[in-house]
Amino acid sequence: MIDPLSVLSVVAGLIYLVMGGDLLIRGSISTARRFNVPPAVVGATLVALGTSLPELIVSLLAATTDHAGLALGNVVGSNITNILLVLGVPALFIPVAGSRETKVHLVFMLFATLVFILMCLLSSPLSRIDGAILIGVLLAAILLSASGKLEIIDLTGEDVEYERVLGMPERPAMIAFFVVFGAATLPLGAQITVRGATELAAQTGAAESAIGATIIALGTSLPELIVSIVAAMHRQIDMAIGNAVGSNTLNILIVIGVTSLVTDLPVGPKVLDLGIWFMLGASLVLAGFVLSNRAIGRVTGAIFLVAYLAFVWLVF
Amino acid sequence: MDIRTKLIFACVAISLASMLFMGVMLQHTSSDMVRDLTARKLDALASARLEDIQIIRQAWREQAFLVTSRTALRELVSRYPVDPEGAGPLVQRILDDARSSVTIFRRLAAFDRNGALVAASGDAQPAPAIQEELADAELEVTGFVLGPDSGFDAVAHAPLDLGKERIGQLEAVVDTQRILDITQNYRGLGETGEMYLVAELVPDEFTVLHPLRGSDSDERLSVPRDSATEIMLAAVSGADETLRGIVDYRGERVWAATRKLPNLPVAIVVKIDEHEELESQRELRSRFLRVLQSVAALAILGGALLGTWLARPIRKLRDTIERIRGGERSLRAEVTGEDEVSFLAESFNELMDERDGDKAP
Repeated sequence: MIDPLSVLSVVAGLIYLVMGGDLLIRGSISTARRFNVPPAVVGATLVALGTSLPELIVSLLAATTDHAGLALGNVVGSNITNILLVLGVPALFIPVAGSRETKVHLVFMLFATLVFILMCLLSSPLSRIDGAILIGVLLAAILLSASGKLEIIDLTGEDVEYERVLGMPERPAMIAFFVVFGAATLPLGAQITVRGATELAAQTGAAESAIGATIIALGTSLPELIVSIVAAMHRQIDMAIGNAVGSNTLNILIVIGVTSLVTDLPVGPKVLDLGIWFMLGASLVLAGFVLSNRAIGRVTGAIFLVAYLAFVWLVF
Repeated sequence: MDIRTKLIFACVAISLASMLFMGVMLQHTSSDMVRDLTARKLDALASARLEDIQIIRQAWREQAFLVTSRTALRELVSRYPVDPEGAGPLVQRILDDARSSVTIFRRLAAFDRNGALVAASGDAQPAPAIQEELADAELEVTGFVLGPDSGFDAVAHAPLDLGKERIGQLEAVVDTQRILDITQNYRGLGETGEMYLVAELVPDEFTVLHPLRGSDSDERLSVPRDSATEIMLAAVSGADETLRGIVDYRGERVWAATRKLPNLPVAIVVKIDEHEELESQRELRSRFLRVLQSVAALAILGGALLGTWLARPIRKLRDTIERIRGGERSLRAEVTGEDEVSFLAESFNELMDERDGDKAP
């Protein structure tokens, strides 16, 4: 029988993660600005990290507490959710199309996805070497993008968006409060989420990777989903594909990279037999739309949604 | 700091403060409740086990009555002082027959009115001496014989009367397996709880009559009064009380209830380790803490939604101002509702109208 407290814990943990990540990033960006750190560096580090912070903290905690299934499931599920759900739902309201820059970002996302899938197939458990390769690819991409030679990761605009929508702390005491409170809330949220998720897995008899790929992934993608739905309702959905592509790329490079640097990540059967193929399929379909300059329409949005539900059904 | 973040912090602070107050109250109440429940549980278990043992004793009496009520036995025991050669073998046969039909008797022995052994059946160790005083015609447990294998037998005596004359007595050594089954049934006592029978068989020495759940040793626990635990002292004295946080024979803090068996220097002790009993309290506290964390998280969500909703008209006003600064001078702020923000928007529109009026030729 499912304990309602376990469900509540997962929900609460995800809220802490999102809030903690938000506060920490806002505090960190303000800190960087106070010390006159160039915006490109802020974008290449804090903003890039910020989008994947909840996934990173959950995966790190899960992997280091013998719940590696949750960690990999979370990343794979998050990437599937970002495409099928975060793009599928707004497409029901308004056609979702990618910009010209998105094409380059998407090709890089496909590259990162393929590298990750090859690692899963060839070198389970993912080790420090795999982690170092992924982090190396990320650093190369950041350097290339920040230097302006070839922008393969979107490192701009996010901090402006943060300031515009959320407001940044100005006074040193408030900046410190944001950083400390955010840094304290993130591990708390991760701990509550992982505990609730492992309890749910035990109570339902489901694999931990299945819980990570569905409930936790949905939770960490929920803010993006809400933003994209609200944007679609206001007919301002230009950034949706770009955001999903950026988030998926960083999920693989940062989350898997850092986590496998810290500890070995065994690839469970749910991820190997189902998750990575769904992720690859969704990425290729998205690439087909973006590279052929076609928008994701209502019918495709509905198909994305059905595909997501099929994934959830299959994973359990 | 933006309104949304301020509201989040305010909601979290309020929810944490109120939940913390509730938590302190709950902790206090639950602590008393758990203590009461444990005391009641131990009391109930001790009383129930005492009743079980009394039922067994009653069954022994009924079985003994089947023997003592045989007229032939009583007549032969009565005749024994004058005709030992004739009566002795016949009494022996009756006792053998009784033992084969009633298996709980490990030894049956008949004594004449002078205390001389008439006949005995069974190989169990006999009692040290026959009883001088027997109040009624029922079998009464008068002592215990400790076996070599940590078990024990009960020794009981019943009078043999012929008419109104007392002509001897029957001694029975009774198998106590049923009592052992009861004492070693730990149902309702968790992982660490146990029940034992402690007796003062010889003055100033307390002996536990059977193996203990909490002891690694097979040897019978026997301690002089000076070294006896508070539980043993309370039990054998017949205090029949519930003791909390006292140290038992293992040096562990326990909660215990005691009951003394009527007319015997034997008592039942039912006990459970304090740490196990407090575990439920800790579990309750941990669950409450998780609820507290969850409520605080929901407060964050509530604060975020409320803040976003409250900040929306301000953001709209800011957008309008930026668009006016960008050149759309005829644009005016949307005035909806009757709150402070709508008054501000209205004032802003009036200001813009006045400025446009001033600039008009």
